[in-house]
Amino acid sequence: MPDSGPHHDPAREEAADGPPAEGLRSAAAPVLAARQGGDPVKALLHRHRALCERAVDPLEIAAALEAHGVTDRIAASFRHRDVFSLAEELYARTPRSDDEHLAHPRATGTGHPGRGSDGDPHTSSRPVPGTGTRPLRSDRAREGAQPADRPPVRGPHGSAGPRGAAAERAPEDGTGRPVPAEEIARRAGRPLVWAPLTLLPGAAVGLTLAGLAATTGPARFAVGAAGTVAAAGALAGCLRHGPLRAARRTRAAGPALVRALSAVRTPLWCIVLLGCLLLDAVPDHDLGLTWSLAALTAEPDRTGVPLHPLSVGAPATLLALALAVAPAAWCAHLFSVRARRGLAASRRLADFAAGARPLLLGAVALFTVLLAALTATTGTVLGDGPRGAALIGCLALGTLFFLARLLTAHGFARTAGSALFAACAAWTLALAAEQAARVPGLGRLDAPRRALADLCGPGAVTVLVCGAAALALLVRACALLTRASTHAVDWPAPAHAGG
Amino acid sequence: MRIGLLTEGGYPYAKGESALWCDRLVRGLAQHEYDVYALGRTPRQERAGRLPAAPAVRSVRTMALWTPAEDGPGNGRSYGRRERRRYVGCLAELAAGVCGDGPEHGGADAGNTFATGLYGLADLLRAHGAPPAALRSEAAVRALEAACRAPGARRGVRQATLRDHLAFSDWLERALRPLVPDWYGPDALGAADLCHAVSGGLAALPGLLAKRFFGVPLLLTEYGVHIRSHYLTTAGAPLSAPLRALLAAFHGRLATEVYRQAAVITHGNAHARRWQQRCGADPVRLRTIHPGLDAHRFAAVGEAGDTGDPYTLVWVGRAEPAKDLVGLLHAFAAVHREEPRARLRIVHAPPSPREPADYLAHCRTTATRLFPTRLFPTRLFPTWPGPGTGPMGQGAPAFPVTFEEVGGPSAPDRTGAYADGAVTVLSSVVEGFPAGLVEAMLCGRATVSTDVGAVVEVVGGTGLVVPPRNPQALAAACLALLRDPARRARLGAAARARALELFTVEQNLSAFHGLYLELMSRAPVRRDRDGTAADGTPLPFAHPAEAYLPGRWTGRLDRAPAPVPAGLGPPVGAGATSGTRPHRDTDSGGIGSGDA
Repeated sequence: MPDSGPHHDPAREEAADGPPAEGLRSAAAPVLAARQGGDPVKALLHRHRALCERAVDPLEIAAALEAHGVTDRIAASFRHRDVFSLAEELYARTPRSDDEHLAHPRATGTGHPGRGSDGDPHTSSRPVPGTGTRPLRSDRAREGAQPADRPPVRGPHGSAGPRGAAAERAPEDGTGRPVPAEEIARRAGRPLVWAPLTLLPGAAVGLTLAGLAATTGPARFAVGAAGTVAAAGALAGCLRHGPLRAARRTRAAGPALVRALSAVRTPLWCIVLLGCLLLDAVPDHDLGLTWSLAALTAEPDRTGVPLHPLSVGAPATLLALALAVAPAAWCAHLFSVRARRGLAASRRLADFAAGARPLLLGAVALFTVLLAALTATTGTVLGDGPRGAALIGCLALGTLFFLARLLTAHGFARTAGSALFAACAAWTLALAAEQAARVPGLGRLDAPRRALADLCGPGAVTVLVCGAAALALLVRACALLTRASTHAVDWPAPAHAGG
Repeated sequence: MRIGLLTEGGYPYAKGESALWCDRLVRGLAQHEYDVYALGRTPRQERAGRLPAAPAVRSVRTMALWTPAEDGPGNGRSYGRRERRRYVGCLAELAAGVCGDGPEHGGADAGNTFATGLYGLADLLRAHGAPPAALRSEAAVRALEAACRAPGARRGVRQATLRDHLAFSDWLERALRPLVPDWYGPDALGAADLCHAVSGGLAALPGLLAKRFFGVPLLLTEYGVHIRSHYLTTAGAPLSAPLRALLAAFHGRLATEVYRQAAVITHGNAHARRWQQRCGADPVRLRTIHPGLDAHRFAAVGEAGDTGDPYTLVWVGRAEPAKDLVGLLHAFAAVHREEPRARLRIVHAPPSPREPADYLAHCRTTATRLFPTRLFPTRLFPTWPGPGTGPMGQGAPAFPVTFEEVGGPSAPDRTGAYADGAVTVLSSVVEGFPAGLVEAMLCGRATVSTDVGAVVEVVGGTGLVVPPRNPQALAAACLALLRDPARRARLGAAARARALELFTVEQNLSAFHGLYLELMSRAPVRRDRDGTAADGTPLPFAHPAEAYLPGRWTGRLDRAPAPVPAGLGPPVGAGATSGTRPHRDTDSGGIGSGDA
C-alpha cells in the first residue's frame, strides 16, 4: 500500500514472529473460560505460559496478547479493565526463579526460560506416568509450532539431547546464542589462512642466511637486501592476517604526514631494538652502520681473520626470532580464543579477570619457552648460537615484541608503542654515552654501562633494557588484557533490538 | 519556520518505516524549512538509497548506528582524569536508572536518575567529544555490573552475566551515538524553531538534547508506539532474558523521558494513545492525528453513484492468518445458503517471502470444501480452474468465491475491486489502522467489519461492526446489507463523507501545520544575536520590516522540484559513520530549473 500512510499494523509485525494461528485459536477461549467461573485467568495463563515465562515485563505480555488478538473487550471478560492489567496479573502469576540456568536457557540446553533441565518431569526424556500432566504436555506440544512463544530447541520429549549438550560446551555470546567456533575465529582469521603465513618470515630469513653463506661480493649484498625485503614483507603479511592483526579501533589521527610518521614509528623502534640486540654483544663496537655493511661485504677467507662484526650467534638469533612468529601467532590465538571462552563462562568481571590473568601469563611463558627452544635449535643447526647474556637478551626482546603485538592486536597500540619507545630511548642513551665517553674528559659518562658489562658480560645493557620493558609491558597487559571489554566480539548490530 | 526533522531508520532513506509519510509531510508543508537528522539503522537501508530530495529540505545529516565502534580522529585526547571520572559517574547513574526498579515497586527516582545520567553524558560529550573506546566499553560494563547487583535492581536484570553486560554495553554505545555528533551547534539544531521526531525511541534523543541545550520545543509523532514495537520485535529474537530485560528497561526509561519532555505527542489511533498514556505521557499533551490517504484516487469511484454489483461482497488485503479468511469463508457460506446469488471476491496482495502463500492455499481448500459443485467435480474435470482463477462469469461456472490477485487480469487495482462490490468486508482478528477499510469508505461502499484495532474509530456509525471470530454475526450483517440497497447507499455515502473529513492527506497535513503554529506560539521568543548589541540592548533596524511579514519573503521561487528518478537519489555517503553530509537541495533545484 504505497499511499496508505504510516499505519502501524500489528498483524504485519506479528507475521515476522511466526504464524499466530495458535494465538488466534487460544484467544477464542476466554468466553468459555469466563463461563467456567472460578479462575478464568488460569486457562489463559496456561495457554500463554511460554510467552509469560519469557516476558521480562508486563508490557511485553500486553504487546504479545494484543498481537494475538486480545482486546480490551476480551480482557473485560477476565474481569480486567484493559489488556495492561490483565497482562500484569499474568506476569505476577507466572512462577519465576532467579536461578542462573534460567537466565540463559540455551546454555543449559533447555531452550525454555522458565524451566530447568533437571527436576522438572517435562524436560526429562523419561515418559511421565502421571495423568495430571498429560493435558499440559499436549498443550505445550501444540504450542511448539509457535516460535514466538517458545524457542524450538527441545525435542518432542523435551530432552536436551545432543544439541543441548553441544550448546553447553560451546561458549555463548552476549545475546545468548552459542558462539560457533568459526565465529570465534572470525576476528582472528582462519588458521588455514594465517598459519602458513606465519612460517614465511622464518623461511625468508633462513634462505637469506643460506644465500649469504654461499655467495660473495656484490651478489652477497644483493642477496642480503632481497632477503631483508622478503622477510619484512612476510612479517607484514603475518601482522595483517590472523591473531596478530591490529584491532580496528587503533586509528591514527591528524594530517597525512603525522599519520605516516605514526605508522612507521613502531616498526622503527622494533628495528632499532633488533639492531641493538645484534650489535650490543660485540666488544667495543663503533657505530653500527659501517659494521653492518662490512659484515655483508666481508670476505673472511681472503683476510684470514673472521671479520664478523655482529655479535656471537647473531644469525641464529635472527633466525630464531623470525621463526618465532609462528608460535607468537599461535599463542595469541590460544589466548584470545580461551579468553573468549572464559568470557562466556564467567559471571562477573572479577571472575573473568581472575581467569584471564593465568591465561595471559601462561601464553607469555609458553611463547618464551618456545622461543628459547627455537634459539637453541637454530644455534645447534648453525653451529654458533647465542649464549649467556645474548641468549637472555634474545628471549627478552622476543617476549617484548610478543607482548607489544598482543596489546596492539587488542587495541592498545599506544601502550605497546610507548614501551617500545622507552626501551629504544634507553638503549640509544647507553650507546650515546658510550660514544661520548671517547671524548677526553667525558669518560665517566660510560662508567655505569662499563660496570654493568664488567659484571654481567657483554650484552647486559640489552638484557636490562629489553627485560625491563617486557616486564613493564607484562604488568600493563595483566591489567589491560584481563578486561572483559577487551575480548568482546564485534557483533553486527542487532537491528531488531531497536539500535 | 525551521524544523528539525528527527528520524531513525526511515526518511530520507527510501526503505524504512514512515518514509513515505515523511516525504509527503515535507512536500506538503513546503512553506517551512526542514533539516533532516537521520539515524541509519542497517547497512541494507543505506544501500537501498534515499528518496529524492524535497524542495523544503535544506540539509540532511545522517549518522550510522550499525557501524562498529571506533575511535574518531582526535578523540580521547581531551579526556583527563576529571573527565574520566565524570564520564564514569554519569554512566553509573544512567545504568542505575536503567536497572533500577520502577516507581510501582518503590523505586520512584529511577527515571530521574536515568535522565540525570543521560543529560550528564550529553553535557560531557558535547564539551569533550567521545571518550576513548577502551574507557567507553570498560566503564559501561563496570557500571552495568554494579547497577545490576545493587539492591533495588529490577527483577529481570539480576541474573545478567558478563556476556549480557558486554552485549548491552555494545548496544548502549550505539544508542548513545546521537549524543556525540556536532548536531548541537548554533547552526544546526540550535537554529531550529521546532524539533519534530517522527518516531519515539532513539530518534527523539536529539530532540531531548536540543530542548535541553537550546530550549527547542519537541513534537513527537508516534504512529507505531515505539516501545510496543520493540517488545514485538525482540520477542522472537534470540536474546537472553536479562539482555531483553535491560533493553526493555532502557527503552521504557527513554520513552518516559521523551514523553515527559515532548511539548505535544501525536498518535494515529486510540490504541496508540493508550500505550502512550501507559508509558507516562500526559493526556493533556496527547493529540490524535489520523493518518491520511490520498483521496483523489478514489474520487471517480466515490462520486460515480454506481453502487456496484448488488450481490457481491469484496474482501481486499493481504492473505494472512490474522485476517481470518477462514472465518470469512464460513460466514459467506451462511450468506450463500440464504442468498444463493451472493458472490465473494477475495482480492489479495501478491504473496511475498514474508507472507508465504500457504495460508492462501489453505483458504482455497476451505472454499472448495465449503462450496462443492455438483456440476464440475474437480475429480472428473482436472482442467477446471477451480476457485480462484479468473473473474466470475467469464465462461467458467459461477463458483461463488473467487480468489484474485491485485494486479492480475481481473483485478488490476484495489479501487476497481472496491467499486465492483456492493459491500466491503473486513474479517480481521488483529488489526492496526485499517487502511483498506478507509479506502472502501472513500469509494463510498458500505462496510461490514470486525471490532478490532482502530476499526470502530475509523468506521464510526457509517458501517456495521461485529465481534471478531463470530462468523454468524458477520453473515447476519452481510445479509442485512445485501438485502437492503437503500441502507447500503446511505451508509456508503456517510462513509465517504466521514473518510473525506477525517482520513485524507490534507487533514493530516493541516493538523501538523496547526500543531507547528501552536507550538511556535507557545515557545518563548528567542532574541536573535544579531538583533542585540553587545550590551544587550536591541539594535534598531537589525531586521527589515519584511521579516515580520507572514509567509516567505526571501524570494524563493515556486518552481517544481527537479524530477529525480527513484534510483538516482543523492548517493548514500559511504563515510556516514559519524559524518554529517549537509546537502542543499537548492543546488539540485538550480540545475533543474536551468535545464527547463
